[in-house]
Amino acid sequence: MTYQRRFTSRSFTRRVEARPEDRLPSITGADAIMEHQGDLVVSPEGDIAITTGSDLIIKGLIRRLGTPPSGYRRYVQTANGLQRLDSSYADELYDYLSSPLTKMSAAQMRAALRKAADLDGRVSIIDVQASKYEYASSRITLTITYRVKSSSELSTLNLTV
Amino acid sequence: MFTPREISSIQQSYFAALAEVDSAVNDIAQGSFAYTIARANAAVVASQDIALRDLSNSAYLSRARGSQLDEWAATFRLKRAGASPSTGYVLAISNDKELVFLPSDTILTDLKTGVQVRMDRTGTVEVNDYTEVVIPVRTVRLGSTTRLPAGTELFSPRYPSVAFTVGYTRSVSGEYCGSLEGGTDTESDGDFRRRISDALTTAGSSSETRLKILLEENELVNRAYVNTKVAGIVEIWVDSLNILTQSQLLELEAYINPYTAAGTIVSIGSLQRKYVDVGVFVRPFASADLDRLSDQLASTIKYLFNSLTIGETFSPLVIQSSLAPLARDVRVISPTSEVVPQPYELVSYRAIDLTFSTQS
Repeated sequence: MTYQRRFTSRSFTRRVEARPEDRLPSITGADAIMEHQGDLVVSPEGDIAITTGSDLIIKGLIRRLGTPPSGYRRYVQTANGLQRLDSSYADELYDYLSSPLTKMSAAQMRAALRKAADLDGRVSIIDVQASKYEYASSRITLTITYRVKSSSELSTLNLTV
Repeated sequence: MFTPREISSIQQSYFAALAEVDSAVNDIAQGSFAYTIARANAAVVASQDIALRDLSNSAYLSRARGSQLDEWAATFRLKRAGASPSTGYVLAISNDKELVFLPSDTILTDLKTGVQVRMDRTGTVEVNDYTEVVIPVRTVRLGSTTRLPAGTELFSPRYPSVAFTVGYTRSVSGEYCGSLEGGTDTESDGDFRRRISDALTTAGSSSETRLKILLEENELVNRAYVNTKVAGIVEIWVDSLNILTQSQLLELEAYINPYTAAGTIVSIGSLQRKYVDVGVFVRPFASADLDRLSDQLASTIKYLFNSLTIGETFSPLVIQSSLAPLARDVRVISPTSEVVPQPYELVSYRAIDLTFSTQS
């Protein structure tokens, strides 16, 4: 198995590069890289591509924010009855996608996004900003500024809804 | 008693196993690859844990449920009482001058509770307008909720002119007498368990099987061997995880005392083991997988020992004949002769040594 780092999301920009020691698997562990469609990425050597360090944390945050409510939730039969697992792992921002946008939407979406991002304990959310609702394009752009705790690396993530 | 594990505990075991094999994928944060696989694995293991708990419970009368309890009861030729319908009578009178003929499949309904009754007789019933006819009925459905008090009015859409009322007669003051009664539910696990327990404690309860079951229900006892040496004298040897003290043996004696017939002398002692070392020389077949073969041989030998009862002689020839089909050649090196235990001893293995020779 070989290691490979690769960025698959086009929606974030990096301002400060993490130091190499911050990317050690011992800090964050290692995870297989998954595309947005859930496909695994194959490395040039033919192994499953692996991500570690700050990259892994950033991908984890993007994955969380890309998960609709109930998208990751599962029900499991246990000795104490049906148990609901991981219902908090979701982004309530999705609830607004099928609703008409109003002037209040931007503030509500910002709060929803902040709530989802705050649940990832590996990053500190510095700020969440939402652009004004543009009637012409029916779009709102949300920007999250966060810091990866293990490396103090500052990043921003832009989402257009 | 087996307690199913929590989902999180199973997941943690999975993560620990990943760490042990130095897995390249070891991020266990929510949403990660390893976490997701661990969660799916935990769901499967959780269902197996439930099955294990049920299996474990089925071994004990106090914890068996449903069909497991039915199997327990079958040992004592007892059956769970099924649900039954309510039965009784209905008085019918017509409001029309003309005679009404009710066929035997007529169904009457209590419009308040929805309970339905069917006529419990063959042939038609003739109803007139001057005297009430008594018709035996039984409820269509079973259970205690089918009971209806005397005086309940019933209705048939096919015969709206006939007044049906629960009861078999009227008192001098004109009140209806005779309810629809007898409807019972299926016997619950709790009631059934009590009845089985009662059957265990009543007459003839000193039978060996019953005492063995009772003792093995006790947490101190792993296995019990009950032997009626002569009429009135019962000898019991119990096997437990630890050697029982004298006071624990007395405690067990007091525990089964109410279940033994009056005048019976019961003697309880700790079972003792006579250990033997088993050595077997094996020449496997050319294509044999040695790991798998050794597992097979060891489990066969263990089974042979576990099948022994107290005081039973163990012969090495049994090992020889049981293992022979599994390899090209099998020779029992130890024990070299029959192992004859004392009447209070159980022959057990201390170690099993298997020696393989692949040379032809």
